[in-house]
Amino acid sequence: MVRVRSTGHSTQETVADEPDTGAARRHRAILAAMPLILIGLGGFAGAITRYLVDGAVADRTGGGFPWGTLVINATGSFVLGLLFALTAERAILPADIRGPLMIGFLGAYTTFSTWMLESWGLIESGSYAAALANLGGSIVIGLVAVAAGLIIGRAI
Amino acid sequence: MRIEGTALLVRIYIGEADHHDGKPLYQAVVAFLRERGIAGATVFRGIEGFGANARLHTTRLLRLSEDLPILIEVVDQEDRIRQILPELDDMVGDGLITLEKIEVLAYRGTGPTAPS
Repeated sequence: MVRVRSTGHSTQETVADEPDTGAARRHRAILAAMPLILIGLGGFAGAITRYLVDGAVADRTGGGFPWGTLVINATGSFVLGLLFALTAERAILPADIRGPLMIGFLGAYTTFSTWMLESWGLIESGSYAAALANLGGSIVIGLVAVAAGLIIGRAI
Repeated sequence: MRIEGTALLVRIYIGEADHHDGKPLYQAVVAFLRERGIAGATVFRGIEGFGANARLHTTRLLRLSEDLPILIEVVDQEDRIRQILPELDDMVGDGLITLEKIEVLAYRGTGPTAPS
């Protein structure tokens, strides 16, 4: 017997009749949670990557200017532009990487809040030129990076 | 309690992230000193610094603010300080401990005395 079942999506899909046991319900719950789990795994990896990259850059450049945050936001913007061109525009890579890589990984990897915190720290300590360079520089470099990623993604 | 004769100032330079038996090392050191009836100790937190591995710690960058400098200053007369130094040295792993001969001008306190 075949029945039509309404799913969470706007379309309806035909599924083989399955007994509504606890195991089947758990299975469906896991399937429904899968996109969230993948985003979470991407975020897990992205947070650790940020921690390691920021640490490596900060150890080399000292504490005078937040280079680590700038490097992270610039590289993250470049990769996001590249992946966007390759998935949304070109369909070279599967759209499935959107959740785990573009939202999860890069979301955890790049950081707006640290950028703001460190910019405010520079303002508070009277380093106005460095604060301005950090705010303006990140915007310009971030835009250039995301555009470069898109352009390269479109050219590949 | 009085401080008589030659007094010593012990400075212990450690980090916020240092731990001893599951609690912050500076808390463990203060508890240990109090238990031993030492005249007094004060803990300071630094806003920037580096130590033996030359890694910078600073409040200015989030990533480098995880292990800020901690300084513990301990003052007591020389014989009492010398007694606890071996155990203190054992508790403090990575870090720096310095000793200075000092002159105590005043050491006063009112209220209940510390456990002896």
